[in-house]
Amino acid sequence: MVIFPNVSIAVGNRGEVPCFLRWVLLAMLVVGANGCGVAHVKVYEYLEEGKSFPRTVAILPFTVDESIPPEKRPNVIFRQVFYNYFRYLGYTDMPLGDVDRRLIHFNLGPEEIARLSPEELKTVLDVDAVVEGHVVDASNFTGGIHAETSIHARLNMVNLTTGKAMWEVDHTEMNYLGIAVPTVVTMIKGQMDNLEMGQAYYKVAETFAMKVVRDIPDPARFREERVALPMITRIETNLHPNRVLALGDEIEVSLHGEPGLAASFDIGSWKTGIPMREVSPGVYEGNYRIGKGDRIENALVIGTLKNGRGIAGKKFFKAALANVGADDPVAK
Amino acid sequence: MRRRPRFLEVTARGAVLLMIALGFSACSTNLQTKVSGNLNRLSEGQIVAILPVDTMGKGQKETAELFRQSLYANLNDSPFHLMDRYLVDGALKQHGLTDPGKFYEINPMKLGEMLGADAVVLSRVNKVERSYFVIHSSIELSVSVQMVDTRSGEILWRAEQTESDFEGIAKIPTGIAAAVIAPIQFVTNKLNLNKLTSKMVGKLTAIVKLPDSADQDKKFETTVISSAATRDLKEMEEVQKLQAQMDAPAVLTQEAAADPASGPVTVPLVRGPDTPPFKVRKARLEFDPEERPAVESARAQRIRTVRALPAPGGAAEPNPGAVTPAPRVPARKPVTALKPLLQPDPHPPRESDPRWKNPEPQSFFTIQVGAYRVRSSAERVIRSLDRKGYHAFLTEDTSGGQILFKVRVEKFKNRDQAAELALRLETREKLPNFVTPL
Repeated sequence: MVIFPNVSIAVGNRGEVPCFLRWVLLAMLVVGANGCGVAHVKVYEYLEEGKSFPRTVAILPFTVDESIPPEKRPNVIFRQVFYNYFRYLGYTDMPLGDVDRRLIHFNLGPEEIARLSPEELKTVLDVDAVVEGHVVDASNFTGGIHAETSIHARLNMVNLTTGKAMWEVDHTEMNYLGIAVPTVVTMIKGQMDNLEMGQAYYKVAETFAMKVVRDIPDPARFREERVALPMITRIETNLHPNRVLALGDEIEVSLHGEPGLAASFDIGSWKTGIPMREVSPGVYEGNYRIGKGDRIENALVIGTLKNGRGIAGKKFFKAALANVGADDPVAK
Repeated sequence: MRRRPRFLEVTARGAVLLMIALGFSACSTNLQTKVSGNLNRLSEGQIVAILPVDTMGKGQKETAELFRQSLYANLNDSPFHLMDRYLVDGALKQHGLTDPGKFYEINPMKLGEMLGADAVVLSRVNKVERSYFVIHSSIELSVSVQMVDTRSGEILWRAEQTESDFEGIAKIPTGIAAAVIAPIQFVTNKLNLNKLTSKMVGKLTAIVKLPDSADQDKKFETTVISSAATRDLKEMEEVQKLQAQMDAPAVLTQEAAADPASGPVTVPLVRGPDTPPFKVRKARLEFDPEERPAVESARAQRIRTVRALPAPGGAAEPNPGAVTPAPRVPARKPVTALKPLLQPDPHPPRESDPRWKNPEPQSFFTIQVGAYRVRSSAERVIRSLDRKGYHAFLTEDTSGGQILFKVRVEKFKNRDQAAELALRLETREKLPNFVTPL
């Protein structure tokens, strides 16, 4: 009998569901109906093809209820974990460090941020939307045969162009370890693990984030169609096949592509990010002088063009491989 | 009368043994992982792309997606920069690569060029098994993953992991209800698979975040190059050897005058102060007759004769002075190894092959949405377009005597593709525009 894919179930000889199993399924449905563990994300703004939607998002520092003792506040861990999972969606996420730096630069604490209008927030962070989070309650308790860690939080995402919430969620996630569930070994281990408060909060936050992110509208499918990496049309070097470079020789590289970007080249994975200069619009040049002790064997020269968002285009020079130092006693 | 206690004793012993066995097998992990010493050379500036996860069976797609999500979440705080998922998927789609099963066959260097990534993470879900036996249920997940440096083909990290967990009688429940309900809940609740995946990836990726802390037995003893890269690199080397052999007589003649002791394969690229500076591009694109050796090799003369013959199209006229050096010979296209990388060519190109001639400059088309005298105005438009997901860029035009900052969007190899986006820009973004060659 197949109830779920990849689940094999031992059934009676005639392939019928045993009577008691029906009761089990019924009981399971009753337990399941409690809504235990499901995060209900209320979506107010769905993403549609051709409709404008936020591209860039900043996750603001999560606030925390004053009733939670300072040493037990999980807001920093929770924000980091949520960011890690949220990054999977097709938004361009501002790194948390950059968000914090900007807020500090404008001297904005949680209260000031709450008072800012969407327009002001947009000016400060230069993003299309923000995710706000508030930890309503959190607990981390270890009591010998019973341990639990929980986070109750409210999250929402605000479209800073319209000033309206795109989605919101109010959810409690709990990790419970007690006598009723694990083996003795697991129980002891669980109790010990739960004592590591940071780790325990991390695990709960992961489950929380996983559940929420699953239901957040994802613009990835719209953005995939418009992906355009910086284009490199040509790469040239002074390398020649089967020639071994010696101390003092220079590898010269020129790159033709989109103008106004940051260019660099790599010699295999041995020497990376050698900067190049834009000598005329769309033409970049750079060189590397072979130094003492440099040894390279069959390395490809790779040109890279990177735009302001850190998106790179690459082109390999495949007409010759770089070989340095193998026959040069000085380089050895 | 004496038989019954004996039976009970045996049964009880068996049950205890079974529980112990199951208890010890709870949450079992089998992790085999190895890293390369070069893994810690991937720094913040380097881009790593996590490719869609391959699967071995039907119904594993969701687990594969979950596994990839967990990889992203766990590797997010690694030293390198993770390429956004939509960029990876978009770039792969543009190259017609939608089947993750094919990724392993592709040279990682080619993937690097397609994605603009310094390393790629290839992974596969080998097994997802959920079993239910009324009072005992289990989930088993098996994956393999490897990170390959696209610049060298080196395998930076390789791991295989099997993780399993169960629920049921062996977990000492307090009542029969728990013994019966827990297994079925466990095996049917997708969240348990999520948790298991997340836990698994946490263990799996720990070594990538701190490669220096890896034990000696978890480090590759030698550099391991992926098979696809090894194959193509060998082909490249062979092509280069052939080309070097073809070039050898001329090189020897050239070098003999300068330094008779030096070998034919070691050529100083940067000349001394007494000789004119070495110009790479000039040397490649133009042939200076003054630099031609006094005595030409027979091969060079033959090439000259071949080049002087009329082209198949009949455009070139026969040159009566074919044997005398022409003032300028058209530049020769450097042998590109792109061809061997994609499709090994059993017949290396010869001098007369059109592929050796200078390539026609490839033309591209773009969409111009505005031209401004003030740079900041143009930049404002670019920022606005960028936020909407368009790839806009600036070009400067001084042809009219005044500087104009032109805002252009995307780049296409043919005009039709450009026209398509131009129409979209006009209808959706209300931006008047026109398609123009770049």
